[in-house]
Amino acid sequence: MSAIRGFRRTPRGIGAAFDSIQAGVLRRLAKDIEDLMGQRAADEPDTAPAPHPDTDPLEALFADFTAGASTRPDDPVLARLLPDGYEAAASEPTDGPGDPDGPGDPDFDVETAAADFRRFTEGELRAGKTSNARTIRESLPAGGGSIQLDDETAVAWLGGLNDMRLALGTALEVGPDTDREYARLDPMSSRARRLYLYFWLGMLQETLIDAISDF
Amino acid sequence: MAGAIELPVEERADEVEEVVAPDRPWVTIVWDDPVNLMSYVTFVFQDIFGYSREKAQRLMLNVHQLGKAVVSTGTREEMERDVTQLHAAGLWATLAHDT
Repeated sequence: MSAIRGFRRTPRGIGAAFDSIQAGVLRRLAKDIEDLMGQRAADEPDTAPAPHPDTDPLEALFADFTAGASTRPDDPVLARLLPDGYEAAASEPTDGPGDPDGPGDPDFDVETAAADFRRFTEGELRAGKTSNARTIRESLPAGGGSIQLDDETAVAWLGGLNDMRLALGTALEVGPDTDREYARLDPMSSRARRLYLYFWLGMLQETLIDAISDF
Repeated sequence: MAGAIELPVEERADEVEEVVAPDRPWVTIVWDDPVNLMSYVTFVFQDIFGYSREKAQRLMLNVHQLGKAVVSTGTREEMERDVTQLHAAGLWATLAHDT
């Protein structure tokens, strides 16, 4: 993949051009995100059994609402894309792990709150990420070429590109020193090539942020 | 109001921003992570909260330099909404009872 000009605001919208390799990589990464989200939906550990036909309709409705997964995914990539809304460390900044209820709030349990929050929000979070990834895939011609995005589609792209970087960055265990590590790697090694892709996505994302902000 | 004169202006401005009303005791915290771009985090704070570029940038730098920052305060329901939006944008956010 050659150096990129990335996204630019033009009179017709936010434009970019991708060659066939770039388009193929982006479409593949988008598909990976869609598959990850789909897999998680299929694996939902806490899916409630289908309601009995005689069940009170109100109860059946409630069963639907409580059918979502309530536990954080084991896979680090999924856990990063679908994080907890409450965390023990975050809720007790001044307290040791010995006091799970936090100071002065004996009725509040972080784990219950995190499970409830996830049950009610994870489905929508997955749907949003799936939709952003699909937007990227569907707006990219398989063989590459120019694309023009309206502002709404551009924001979907921005979120989708960020999810790709989160997934790749987590899988590659990117940290604050990864830049320096990359400079020392054999450029043909598999890690160097994957990190190159990760950095390329970052540059692409920067140009998209500039293009969206340039109005 | 003589006492107020002794406070430097910037200090008072800072104080006002940090105040959390006692009946709104929940906070949304964003945690530093090595992947999200600084420009992206700033963009998300502006987009979700409607913050000025300056305020969004300052919060982003707090996250980056201190490891975390409180980005909004309010009721538990409001903070759950904020965290949901931040997660949708890919930021690492949690809500907690303000201490």
